[in-house]
Amino acid sequence: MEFAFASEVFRSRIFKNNLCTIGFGIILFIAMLGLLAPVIADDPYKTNLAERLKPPSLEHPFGTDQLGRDLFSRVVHGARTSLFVAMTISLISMAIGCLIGAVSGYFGGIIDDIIGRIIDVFLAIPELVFNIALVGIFCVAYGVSTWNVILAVVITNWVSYARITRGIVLSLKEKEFVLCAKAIGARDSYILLRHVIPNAIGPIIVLATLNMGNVIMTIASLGFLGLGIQPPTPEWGQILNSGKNYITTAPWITFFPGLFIALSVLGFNLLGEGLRDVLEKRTLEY
Amino acid sequence: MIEGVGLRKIFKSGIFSGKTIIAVDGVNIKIEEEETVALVGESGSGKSTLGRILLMLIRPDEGRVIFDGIDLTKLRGRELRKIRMKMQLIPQHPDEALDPRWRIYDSIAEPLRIHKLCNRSEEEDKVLELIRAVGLKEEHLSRYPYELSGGELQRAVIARALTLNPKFIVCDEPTSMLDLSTQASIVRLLMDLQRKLGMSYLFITHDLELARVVADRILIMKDGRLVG
Repeated sequence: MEFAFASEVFRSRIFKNNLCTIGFGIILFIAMLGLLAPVIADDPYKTNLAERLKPPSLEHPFGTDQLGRDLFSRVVHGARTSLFVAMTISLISMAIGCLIGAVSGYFGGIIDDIIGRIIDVFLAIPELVFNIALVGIFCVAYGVSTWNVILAVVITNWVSYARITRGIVLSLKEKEFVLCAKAIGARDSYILLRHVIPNAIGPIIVLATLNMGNVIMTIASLGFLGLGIQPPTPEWGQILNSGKNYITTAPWITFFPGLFIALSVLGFNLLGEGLRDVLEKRTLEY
Repeated sequence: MIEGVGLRKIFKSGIFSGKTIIAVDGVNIKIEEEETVALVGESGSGKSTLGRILLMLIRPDEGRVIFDGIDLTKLRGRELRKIRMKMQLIPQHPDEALDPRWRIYDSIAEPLRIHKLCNRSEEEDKVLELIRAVGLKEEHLSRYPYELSGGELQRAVIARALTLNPKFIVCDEPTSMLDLSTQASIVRLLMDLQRKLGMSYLFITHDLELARVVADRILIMKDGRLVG
């Protein structure tokens, strides 16, 4: 009963924050386009060489590409690919990262030392370079597939979750309310479930939201370099790449996917910043 | 009533640095019923660690803690959690002592819920009785910790510590984070409660003047040892 009340207060607080509302609106808009793609857009694979490189018109709102495919359909279907892949990556790396980070922070000692060094090694390698290398290795080993991208980005991405979760758990473990809960005779499992995790979840949600923007950028970068999701599957970075040869004659091929990449990253960043403002009043600062 | 015999605690940090700190070095301490013992020392002298060892929040490397004739260092799990009902901690930072996501009411009622001591209506009576005893108002109960001042928070923390009628309370610098006038009222509250409820205090402080006011006996701690 109290929980329901709290969540209601909480929801209204989130939407009182302008950053949250704008960010959420942008994400909702792009997500709806992606969800409704089969209804509102044509087949993104249908080529029509007679209609190639046409500028935006009523029939083709975003114009057509070098193979005469409707760019609106491709960009809107690209939203599906980008959001789905980014979400998969975020969820997997969040699960792995939070678990490793929490174990590291909670048990401390030698486990923490070892995990800490591993995290340092991962952080020392530039992310994109690491991703490119990993995708290359996976392509040779397992053949070309979307899972290569997912796996590669998860491998570089879990580290930030582990680092943050470790820090949060470490500082929460030392907080006096955890000590007091222990002093009144609470079990460790009770303390973890009722005090540590609820207080850790806010910053992790903020990180996950901000991280989504990052992941979308990484997917698009890999796509642009030809290492990401392979054609003909529509993906923003890869559409951008295919349009770069026509940038002076048909700039709409690069403009629209670029706009959607920028918008979705902006949306997630605004939502993340807003959530941070809202959540940090309720939770502790780290 | 509570006694520490030959207590010793060494902290080690990291496998690569290999630093060790001797926090408590062979301490014998005994506190009688309804007695207030002040433990005075500089920061880093190990007084907080000693307080936490007596509450078994930190396990000593050597020595025993005897409470009402029971050796607490031999207890595990459930038995130790039962004993914890009889001893409590009032920590230094009132703003960190209560879960920031819990209302004051829930924090004060939490000990009753953990030990499943009463039903909801008894719980409410008990909480109301407690906040009256520490001088808080009913309106404070529905607030979150960040909506209370330092002095009000410390009162809530004291109320929570009293929920289970403990016999022994470690006050770990309970007033050091408060301003002067609030300090006085909190100290007075602690003294009044002791007279009414008959508890023993281990009063940890770095303020010798304060120790003289509150304590029956003063112990001085330096580098992990009791020196006087």
